[in-house]
Amino acid sequence: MSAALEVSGLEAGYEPGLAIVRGASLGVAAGEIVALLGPNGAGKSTFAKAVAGLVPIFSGSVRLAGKEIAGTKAHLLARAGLGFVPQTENVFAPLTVAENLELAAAVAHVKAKQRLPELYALFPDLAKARRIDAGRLSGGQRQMLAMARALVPNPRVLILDEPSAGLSPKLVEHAFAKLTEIAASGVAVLLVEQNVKAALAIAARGAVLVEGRVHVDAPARDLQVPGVLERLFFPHAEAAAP
Amino acid sequence: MSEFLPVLSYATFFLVFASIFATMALGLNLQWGYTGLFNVGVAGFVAVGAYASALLTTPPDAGPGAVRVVGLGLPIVVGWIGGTVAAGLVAAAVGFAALRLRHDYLAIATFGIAVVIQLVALNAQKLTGGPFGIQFIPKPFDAQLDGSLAFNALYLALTLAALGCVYAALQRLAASPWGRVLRAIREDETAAEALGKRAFAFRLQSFAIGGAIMGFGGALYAHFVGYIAPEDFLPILTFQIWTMLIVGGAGSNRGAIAGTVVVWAIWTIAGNGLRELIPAADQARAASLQIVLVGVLLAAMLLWRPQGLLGPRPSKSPSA
Amino acid sequence: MILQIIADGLIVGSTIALGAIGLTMTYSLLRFANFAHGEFIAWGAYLALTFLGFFIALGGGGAMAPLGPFSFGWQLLAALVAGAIATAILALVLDWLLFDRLSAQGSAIVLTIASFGAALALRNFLQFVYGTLPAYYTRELQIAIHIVPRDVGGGLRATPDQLFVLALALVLVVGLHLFLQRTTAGRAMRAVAHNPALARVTGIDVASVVRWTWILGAILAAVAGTFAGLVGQLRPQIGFDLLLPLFAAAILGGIGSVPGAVIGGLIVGLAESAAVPLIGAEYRAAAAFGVLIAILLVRPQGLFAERAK
Repeated sequence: MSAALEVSGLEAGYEPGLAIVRGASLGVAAGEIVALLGPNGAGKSTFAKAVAGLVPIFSGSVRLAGKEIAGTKAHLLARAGLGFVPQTENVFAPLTVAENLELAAAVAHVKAKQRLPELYALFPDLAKARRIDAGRLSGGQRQMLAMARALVPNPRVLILDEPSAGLSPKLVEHAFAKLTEIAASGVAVLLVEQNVKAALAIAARGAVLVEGRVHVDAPARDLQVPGVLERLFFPHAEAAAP
Repeated sequence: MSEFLPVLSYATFFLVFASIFATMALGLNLQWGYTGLFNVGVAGFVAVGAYASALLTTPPDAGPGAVRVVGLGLPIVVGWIGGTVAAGLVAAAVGFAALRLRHDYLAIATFGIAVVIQLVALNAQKLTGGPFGIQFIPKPFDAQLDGSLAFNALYLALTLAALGCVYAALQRLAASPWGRVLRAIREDETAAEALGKRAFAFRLQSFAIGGAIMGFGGALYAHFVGYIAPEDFLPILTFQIWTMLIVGGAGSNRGAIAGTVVVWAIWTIAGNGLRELIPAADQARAASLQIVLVGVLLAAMLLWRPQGLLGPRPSKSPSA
Repeated sequence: MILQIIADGLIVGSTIALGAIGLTMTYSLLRFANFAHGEFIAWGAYLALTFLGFFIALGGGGAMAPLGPFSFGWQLLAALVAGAIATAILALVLDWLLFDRLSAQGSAIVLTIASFGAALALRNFLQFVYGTLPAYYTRELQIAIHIVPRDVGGGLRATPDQLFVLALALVLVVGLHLFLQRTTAGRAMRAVAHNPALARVTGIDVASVVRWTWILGAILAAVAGTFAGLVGQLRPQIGFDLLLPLFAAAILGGIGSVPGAVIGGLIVGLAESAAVPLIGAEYRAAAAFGVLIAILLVRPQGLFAERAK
């Protein structure tokens, strides 16, 4: 079975010669949630942005449903079925909720009249707030809008950069329940997270990124064993540990 | 020997202007090269220095029909100091209004102050002489020397000494803890934010000192030419100084001086060349083309060699 | 007297507003203060003059037959459109040659320096091509109409041309507002201005939006320049002289806000007009600077900034 998203040997970074992601490989199948974990500065966010076309890729391959997409412009990726939810400032604050979604539909040539009611059904909170400026939404509503916006063109793959950041535990639970629902509809979900516990609770697999490479790619339950992740995150720390 | 005299005379003339422009470019380098402050009103600060110095040293117009009624007739040294201080004060006032804000607001505010200074120079006739400007500004040394090669040579020695002093002072400042803080503010926004109000104070000091140096340059100019008018301080002057700094390399004092000589030479040669090529009737148009040429030079430098001839290598910025 | 000052201020202000709209849009989208924007105004005005000559020659030469009460004929309207298109092309070429390449290198302030250089080069090239003497679209004399009799508020008089300028500016502003609020292209512009990276992952072609912003800004600038030339005279400094009022209006209204730029433009226009009896016509241009410094000191984010975050 070919994965919906297949990344191999990815090297990427902001400046030539300064790769932050250094040969990372990872696959996400349709309907699967994969958590990308790792210590601060491991390159998780850069990995996600590189796949989404926001950070230059130096070498390696990124395949979306079997098709090579490395080097494709971000706006074309978005239209081709790769949804990306940035960590912060992930909604258009001056536009209303409905305008945010209508804009995404219009540029992807998706019929808003058909698609928006489906999304409002998935996120009932947004339906109530559709005439409100996105800048005035609460943190939780904003995260829902960001997800809904990325889902407008019916993407095969949805990548989320730290969706739990800044949300209360209850809202994280709510948001992640939605992700399970989204994955169940056949979307491949790549979840970049610091909140390891919450992420592994919904993920099928977890991949651990250390120093720009995926060191371990294992079923989520194997990573939930106490102490395992600490050792993976800080492989050099053992000698120094008391 | 006698056929060399015009050449020699022209060379000293050229170098006097080069050293005056270089002084101004050093002031801009302190603001932009060291502190990252974008000043689009260089000509305004130069004008303040020139007019202040002229007013302090030149007696008012005499006789019937006198336009300009202000003027003190003080020694030239007093004029230079006064011109420098006045330009520094104007820079401090503009900086106070705009330096707390986004960097491009400073650009707009300095552009505005230069426009206003130009308006005052043109219209406050009793003070500035209006479009006729200020004439008979006293020149240093013996009055007998006026206009001669000897005067040019002596004045060149003076401007070179002034340039040397400003250069040495700026080099020392740059190496001092004060200069290192400026660089930190420029290179690193978070460092600047951590300094908070003190960063504002550092920027303001740098901006005021830079403005004062430009004013000093203006004063040097006024007492060499002996006559100033509003048209001497048009935006083209700002643009020339900027091109000199960019060509030489912002952030380097030596670069600022080298860039001045190069651009001033190109400017002079282009001006002479165009005057040769274009018929006398279209001379005014030729002057326009000269400016276009230097505009293209600036753009080309920014595109292909942004660090200038002698500038420090651009530091890698993390923002893409 | 007071009514006349207000009317004059609104006429000048409508020109400033049209220029300031383009400035505030490129400012918020490209994130740099474009000092060359004033030259789009000047080039727009002069290109319209060239096209006017062309259209008059096309119509068999001679004088332009005025339309109704106005001083100009259909030829000027055609020249206005042609000049605006040519100015848009000029803006795209400048972007392609200079700004696009420089923005790939990074710093916004380098773009500002470059725009300052480009402004001087463009202005002087204009002077080289057209000379420095004032020019006029039409020599037709216009009689000002009494709109309000003298005994009410000092009376109010305006020429038909002035009323035309005011009306067309109003139509353009309303049209642009609807475009930005209602159409996909307009919303995409606001989206890119707010957050370019998010716009890209939403599927918006940012490069194309930037091009359209240049086109729109240049068209409005050209119209502003032609208006200024119609109610006054054409001079090569026409754009340079408007630059400070333009910046004052854009900052006053809040960078990125089109309604803000319009209201800012009208306020600056009124300030200039009110300054004449207070500080004299020769210091009129200083009024814009006063507005600018006041807004920087009191409310630097402007009156109507679009919510940033």
